[in-house]
Amino acid sequence: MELSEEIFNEFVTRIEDKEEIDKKIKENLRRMILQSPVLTKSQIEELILNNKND
Amino acid sequence: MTNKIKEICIKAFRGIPDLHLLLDGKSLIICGENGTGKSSIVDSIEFFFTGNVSHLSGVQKLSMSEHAPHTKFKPEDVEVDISFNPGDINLVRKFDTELSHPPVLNDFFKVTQRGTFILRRAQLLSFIISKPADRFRAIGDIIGIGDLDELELDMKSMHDNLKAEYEQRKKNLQTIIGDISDIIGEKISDDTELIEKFNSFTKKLNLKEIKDFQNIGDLKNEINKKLGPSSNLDKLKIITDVNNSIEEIKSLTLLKDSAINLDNDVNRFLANKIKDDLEIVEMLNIGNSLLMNNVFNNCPLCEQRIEQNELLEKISKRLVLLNSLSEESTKIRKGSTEFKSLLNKCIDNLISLKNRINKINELTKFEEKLTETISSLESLMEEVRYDREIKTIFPIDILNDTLLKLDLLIKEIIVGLKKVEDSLSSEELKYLDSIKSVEKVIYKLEEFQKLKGGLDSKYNQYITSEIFYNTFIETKKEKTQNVYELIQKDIDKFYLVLHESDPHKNIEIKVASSRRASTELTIESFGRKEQDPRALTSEGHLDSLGLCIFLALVKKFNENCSLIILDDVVSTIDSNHRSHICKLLFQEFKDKQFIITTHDKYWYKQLIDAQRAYCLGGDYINNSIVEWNIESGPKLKSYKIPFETITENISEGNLSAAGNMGRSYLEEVLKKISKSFFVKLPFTEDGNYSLGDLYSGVKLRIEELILDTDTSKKGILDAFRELECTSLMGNILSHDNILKEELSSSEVSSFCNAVKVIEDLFLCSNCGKPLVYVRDLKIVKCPNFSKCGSSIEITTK
Repeated sequence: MELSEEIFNEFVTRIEDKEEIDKKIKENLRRMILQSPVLTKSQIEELILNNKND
Repeated sequence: MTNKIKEICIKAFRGIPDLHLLLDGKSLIICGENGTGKSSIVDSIEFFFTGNVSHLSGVQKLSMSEHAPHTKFKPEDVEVDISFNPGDINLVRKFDTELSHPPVLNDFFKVTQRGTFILRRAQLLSFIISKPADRFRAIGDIIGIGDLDELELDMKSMHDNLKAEYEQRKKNLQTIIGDISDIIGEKISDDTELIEKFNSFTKKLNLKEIKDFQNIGDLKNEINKKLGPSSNLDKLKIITDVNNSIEEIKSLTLLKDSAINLDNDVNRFLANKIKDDLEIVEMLNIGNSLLMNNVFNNCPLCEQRIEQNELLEKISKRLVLLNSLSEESTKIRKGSTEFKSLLNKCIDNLISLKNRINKINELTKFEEKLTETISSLESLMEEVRYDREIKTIFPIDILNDTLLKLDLLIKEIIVGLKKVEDSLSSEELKYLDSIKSVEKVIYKLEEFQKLKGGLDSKYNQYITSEIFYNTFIETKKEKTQNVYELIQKDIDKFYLVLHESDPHKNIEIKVASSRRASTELTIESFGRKEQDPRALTSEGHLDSLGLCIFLALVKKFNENCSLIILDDVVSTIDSNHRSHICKLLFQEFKDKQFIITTHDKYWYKQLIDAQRAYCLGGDYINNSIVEWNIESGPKLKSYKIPFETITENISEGNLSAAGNMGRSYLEEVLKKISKSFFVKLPFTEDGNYSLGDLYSGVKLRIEELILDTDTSKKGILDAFRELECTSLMGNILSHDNILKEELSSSEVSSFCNAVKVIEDLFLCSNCGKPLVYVRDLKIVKCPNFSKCGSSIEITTK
């Protein structure tokens, strides 16, 4: 596994452990990482800015 | 099995018109003086793998198309042809074609296309002297996380923006709470006190309490019912409406903020010439498609000579940039929509105000000015057109001017309204004050509610971005540090091989904890920990550290690429440390295929001797460049042992050269024996010994050291006697000039043959390594006996 993929793999696992992060975001993040092992800026933006759990 | 280079054919490249190198998977050492084409060979290999020569790129007035081809040839003549084994895969790189490789070479090319298989003299110190951030970036590119650094910056910028937006909204909410405090005349600390304080305010007006802000509008009806006078209520209602309109128009903060943001974005956009770039995006796409599908030597537009691959790469980078710029234009379009919506609302409010003052005689005089303002704002609305293209600046000056005039007009209307209010009865005024205050608070509360809802959403985004960013940088740091630790172990280990007894050790390479994306490199020198390597070490030490860092990176990241090129990298390192470099290369990297170039004959010889010492003779091709000129390029000659060169000279009739070489040959043989057998030699001031002294010392040592009962002793002494019988040796022993007399070929030949016999007697017959005297065991044997299986054991006294 490439180092960048390894970093994202670990990043996703750590985000999934964060209680403060919305469940929907975690699900979307996992779905995205399964499709492409390294996320892009627009994917991260989509995850964060579509967070309308208020 | 890792692929290795079988053959290299270079045509019309740099200083090489035509050169063929047959390696057959072996390593290659090339020794040649400066300017004889060594680096041209290295450049051509880099060009083959990367399509580029790093030191010709990114430098003004240097270009691949002009300076890479041989001066007598054109770019289209350039051809570097490399074949690989196993599989006999043959690939050709030319100027105007892409190089495609079979999948079996994917890993090999992945490494070589990064260019991290070549170390040049100029790059030795690049890791050591670079700034921590540049070092991080350079290593990041090698370990494949270069792009993540960009993403980290994007995440940071996203987080910072969200934080700023959240804090601004929070500040706006606090301002509204302050405004409400002013209206109701009571201090409100935060939004939890809003209902309580509002109820105590309405209680004074004998109005009922509210539980939340849901049906706050109903309070107006209650006021009308409880406080409204029996007559003149319609006029009072109009006055109230005019007041409300004025309040709404006065609160133009959002419109002004939106205008400032839009103005900034548009200015940045236009200042960066983004609009021009966007206009040429279509042309770039057409150019890209043309170049992808056709071969051009000249630009189809300006007809200047072009480097097609370079141009394609530039266009591709430009298109990537333009894509990011189109995000900027999207932001402006979004901002412009928001601004127009706020401006529309403002115009609506002004129209509403105009309609209301129309019903109060004293205020009708303002109608015309209001119409003018509305018209100005409507014209402005027409001017802000960024939905298709962004070509013009935002009319911020016109807007500010209009808003300033509006501000003055509103003040005049307020004064006029005050006069109307002054003519009212005390009962009417009381009602008016009450409803004005309540409506003001209601308006502010509605604004508060709207902002508060957005604030929660913004807060969630901000906190999510913060957790994302912090988690990402922590993960990236930790994973990168893990890789650094692996590299560090090797750097330390390699450096210890080169500098075992030197006072420099414990090299540390780590991700800086206090700074973003930085790499620190330190060394312990003279007991002082964590020093910058440049602080207390010599130039030679720094160069060898640079070499160790390069080799550690190669070991970790170039696993599937056998090729390592070292282009003249040891010039500042002394002879003793160079022998340790041989040990490092030949022990730690024996499976790699090296191409080593040097101008230093001693280093060349050291490398050749070390090949014998590490039993790698068959794995290396040793060539020296004996001649170079622009027409024919470098002429290479393979290395021959001294005896072979002497024999060649004798057969060609060069007796004088052969005689001199024979003398040097004997000197070299005797020095090696002296070193291995601890021969005692007479003291000399300069450390140089005469050939006679060396010979006498060696012969005496053998006579004294080896037991008479050992059968080899007689053979050795016979060989010495044979040598002494030659006339050349007679000259040497009588301190005569070896060339004083005319020499015959048989005389030179018998002398050299006798030296060869002595040399062979002191070499292991299995592996060719020089025999050594082991004092503790009192025997002479091959130092490599455990590997080569030599059974030689000469017993000594």
